[in-house]
Amino acid sequence: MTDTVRRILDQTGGGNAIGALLNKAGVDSSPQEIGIAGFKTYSRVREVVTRSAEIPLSFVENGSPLNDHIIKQPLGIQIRGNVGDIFLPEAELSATVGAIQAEIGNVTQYLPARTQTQVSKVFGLINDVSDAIRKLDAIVDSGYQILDLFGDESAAQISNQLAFIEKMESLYDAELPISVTTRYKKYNSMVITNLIFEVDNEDNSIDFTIDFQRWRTARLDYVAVKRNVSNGTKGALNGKSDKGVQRGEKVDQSLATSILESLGFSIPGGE
Amino acid sequence: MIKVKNITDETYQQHSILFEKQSITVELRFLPQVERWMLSASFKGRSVTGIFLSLGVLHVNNSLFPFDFIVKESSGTGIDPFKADDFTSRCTLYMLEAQDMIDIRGLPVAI
Repeated sequence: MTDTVRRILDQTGGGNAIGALLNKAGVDSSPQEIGIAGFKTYSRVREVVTRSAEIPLSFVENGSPLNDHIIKQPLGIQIRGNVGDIFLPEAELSATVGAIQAEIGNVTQYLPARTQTQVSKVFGLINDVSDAIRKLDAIVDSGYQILDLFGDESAAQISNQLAFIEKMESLYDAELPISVTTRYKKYNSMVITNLIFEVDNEDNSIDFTIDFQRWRTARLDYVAVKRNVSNGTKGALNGKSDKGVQRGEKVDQSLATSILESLGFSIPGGE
Repeated sequence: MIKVKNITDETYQQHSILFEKQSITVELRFLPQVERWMLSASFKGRSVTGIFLSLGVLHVNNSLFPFDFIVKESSGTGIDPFKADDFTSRCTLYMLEAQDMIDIRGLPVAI
């Protein structure tokens, strides 16, 4: 399926008959919510997670610890996607109704006959809601047709794309580790290593590619050395000796001034 | 300015110095192989480590602490502390307080 067809399907919400058929056929044309450092938008995205490691090309002596030679590279994530000019997230109401309908369809098989009337009433209510949603969809669809005539130049849509660009650029400039939420996992301490925007004036959309790499830090651990070390170390490996808390001994002002002046500092009030 | 007391000839020692209702943790290490004394200090979560002690200089000035350390020696040789017992004989470690730092920098210091 071409991107144009996908885009048209997305603009119509992905919930119409064609979209439903495609979804049944395993074609996911619905926008997906992505989150990068708290900024969320709906976009078609492709996520590439890379975990790689280097192992020696030469032969390793048999019996040596193998994991010493396997050097893991930092986690890499690439997010490619398209910030379109029209965003139509799936309405929560319609999603809920769909879920309820499915559940009731299952439950009715086990319900006793006397509650059939109640179930019918529930179906009636659902149908009313569905009708209302269809009417809303029709209004939205007609709006899209008008938009198709003149192009969508509303300030809100432009600001959404701008917000995305500016947020990503500020994250790049900030040089800070951020968290990236993908469909299945959340990755922390990610730093942007590559940021590409491609503006498509034909359909007012922005294709983006963002590469992230994990910022890895190592914790320093100190291990106490045994006290019975060689005399040749001359005490260099001795443990720490706590000399307690003190206020220090106040130095006479004239001595302090002379010490500071001997270091080349001119002290106000000094001689 | 105060004189840091109770420095012995032990090669690794920690002193806690009360300063402006808080505490400065000072670690002194003597490295016998290179014959140098080394200072580390931490205050309010910030720390500076591995500063070799020398005569006649400010040691942690770049860290913008409201204090600093200087070493003064009394024998007149002008040699930096290089023996384990130098601070029990010819050398003295002084700590500059906030007012000293204001006088040196000419600016208010943040405590």
